[in-house]
Amino acid sequence: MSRDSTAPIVKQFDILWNSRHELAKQVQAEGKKIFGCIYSHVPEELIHAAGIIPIQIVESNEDTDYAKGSQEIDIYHCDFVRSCLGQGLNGTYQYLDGVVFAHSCETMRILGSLWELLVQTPFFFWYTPLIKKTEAARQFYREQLRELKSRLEEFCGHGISDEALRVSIEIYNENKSLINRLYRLKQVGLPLDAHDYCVIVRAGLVISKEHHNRLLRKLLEVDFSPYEEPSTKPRIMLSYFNFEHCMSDKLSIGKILEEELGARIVADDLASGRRYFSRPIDIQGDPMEALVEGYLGSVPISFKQTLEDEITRISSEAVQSKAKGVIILFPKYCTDFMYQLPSIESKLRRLGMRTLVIETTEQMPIGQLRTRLGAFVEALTK
Amino acid sequence: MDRQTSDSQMTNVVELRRKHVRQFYEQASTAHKQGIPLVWICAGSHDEVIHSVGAFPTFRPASQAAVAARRGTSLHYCDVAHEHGYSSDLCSYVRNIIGMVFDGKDPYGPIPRPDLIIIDSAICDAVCKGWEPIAAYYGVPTFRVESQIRFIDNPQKYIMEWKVAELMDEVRFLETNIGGKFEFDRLKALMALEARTCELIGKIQEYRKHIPCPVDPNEMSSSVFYQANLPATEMAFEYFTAFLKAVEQNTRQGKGAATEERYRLLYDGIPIWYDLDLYEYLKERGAVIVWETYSNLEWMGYYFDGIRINPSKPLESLAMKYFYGHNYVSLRVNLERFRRAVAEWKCDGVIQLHNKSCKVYDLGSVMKARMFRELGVPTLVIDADHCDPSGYDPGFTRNMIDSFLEILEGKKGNK
Repeated sequence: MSRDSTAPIVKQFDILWNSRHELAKQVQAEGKKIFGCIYSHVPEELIHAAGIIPIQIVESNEDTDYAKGSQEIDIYHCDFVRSCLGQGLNGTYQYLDGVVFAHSCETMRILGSLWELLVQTPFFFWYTPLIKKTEAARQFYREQLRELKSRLEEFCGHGISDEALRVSIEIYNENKSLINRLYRLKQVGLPLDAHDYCVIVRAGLVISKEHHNRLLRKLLEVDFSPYEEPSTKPRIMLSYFNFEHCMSDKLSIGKILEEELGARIVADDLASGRRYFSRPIDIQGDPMEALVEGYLGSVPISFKQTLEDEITRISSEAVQSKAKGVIILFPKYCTDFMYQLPSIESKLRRLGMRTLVIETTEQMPIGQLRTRLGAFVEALTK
Repeated sequence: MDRQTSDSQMTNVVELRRKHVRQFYEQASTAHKQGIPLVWICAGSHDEVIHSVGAFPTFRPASQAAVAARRGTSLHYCDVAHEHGYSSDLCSYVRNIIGMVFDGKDPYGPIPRPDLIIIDSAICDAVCKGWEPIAAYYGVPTFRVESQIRFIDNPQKYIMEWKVAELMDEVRFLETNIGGKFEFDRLKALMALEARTCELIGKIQEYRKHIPCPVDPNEMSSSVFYQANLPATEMAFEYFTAFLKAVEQNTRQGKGAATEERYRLLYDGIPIWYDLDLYEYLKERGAVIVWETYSNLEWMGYYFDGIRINPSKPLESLAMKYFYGHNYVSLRVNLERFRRAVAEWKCDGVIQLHNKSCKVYDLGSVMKARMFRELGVPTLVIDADHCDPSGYDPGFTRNMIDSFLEILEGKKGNK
């Protein structure tokens, strides 16, 4: 079974990603509001239930945006934040009706602070995710959600019913379920490579979940026969934050590893991918309580996850997928993750896995990267 | 009283601080010999809560990092951390601590092992993440206090309730893990003492508005030792009482920190701990730092927002201290504070530290510089780390300062 069967559908996802801003403006022209969010801590379901389309603000890979952002942020911060701010200042996200930023790391606080002052999107909410699941934390999180709900209702001029929230949670849960199903089928032969998988997943960040679900269902109707991959291909897990550094017009790490170097990516925990989509919300009972339980202490991003949980997550994924090596890609200057990295690497080595750590930037030299990836894959085949 | 007496008063203040520092570290290093558990705390942790449960000594290794930098050994600790896989982009306080932990030694000798660790994100995120591998290394009970950055003018009731509940969870954790018993009255008494100390600090800071500034900036930076390690103690009260007395004396005599004060400066950033001679270099040229962010972390709320410790509500007071502290507010709040500081302390110029390993202090540095420019106050940017001297050139820094002071002199001439 070749990729010809899936390629046309994958292309649709790619087109959506590349025309994300035009699409958003089209949706607005139809009367919907659009909010920008960053990373997985923001309870998008609540925003969706208000009748607003939440989209993720993502890196643009455009030099002009990095340059603009760098005028306001020192170089000792990740490219992601500089690009996002640059786009805000350049007017790329001028159409946003609001933003909800979560305190997912120190650099996010810088982005949030500067966005509030310089971009001045009409609605701004600073969201505090928590790690602990104590009663005090639950109560805080509950009240914070209520505050966000109240602000959204005031902004939109109408209430958010429990029923609307339940429906939104179900839509988001379906999205997570479809992506997870896709991920599992990919492991057993659905003709998608790592690059295609990322193309599909990332589109879901910038369009409505309903739209993404329709396309995913279509993709999963493709007929294929499960097959066993030849065992000679070195099995690699990718642990990475920003796919924008790993797949752009200039570079696709997935393609390099699978098409050029003959490896097989058997697992990934992309921050905007599996980590973002992997946690369905259990909506028995009160939907606001469901959000509390679903988000509190559950979002696997470095700053808001304990070291122990981070080590367990990455290592158990690597073991389950029978990876021989783990490639860890994280944005340069991501200090929260850098504190955890030595412990994570140590654990993976104790489990008998090789590791390759790459600090990614938008400007990283691709030739050198190819060489490092090539050497790593070669080492795995010995 | 004559100038000599005034000098000797300040000398006494310095000696008092050194005595307290020795006592503090001795308590920590001899705790186990006396069968007393030792609590390691990070910057932002609440000593008051710990001492309300019992007289347990605390140890704050970040202070050791500053000492290591002063003594010229911080590079060694950074290298040890690097050998264990910790990037040089990380906070150099934390790298020093990690280096000391793996080395088994701090600047004073063998590093005293913790029985308990309290982590608090009130000062910054780096502290929380950086302490995780340290806690894992020692394998001792660890408690994490979470915090929220204040983007709004006043924290809502539910945020205060949460913070108070967090602190009570910390109390229960302490009682369970090191024994002792929480006494609310003891906490109230500690906070009452801290309130009196805060007033003293407030007065000293107000005196810095005088021309010439009667407060030595080097000693002001060093006084952070008390705010960080001993906020609610008789030692802190004794020290700031002596400090204030010396400052009042200087004011009466018209004696400034510099022999002839020509330039009043605001310093934005952590002190460059391995080059504190910079303060003397500046003073010799008539430049005095009259306001800085680092010695004012918690005092900011006291001055700019009128936050006062209410000893009868000690937990709420502790929560407010951090909600209004420098490191836990948004840039919008900070910009207004800087604007007022420049005006009220009559600053002629600003020195801004661009510090690769401290994102918190770097917050909005470009916007701040722009604001200072609009206020007609020149800014000198120094690229330096606070505890990692690699790549730092003191000669180059002094050249930049010389040029900067020429600019300030030029502005004076144009008035």
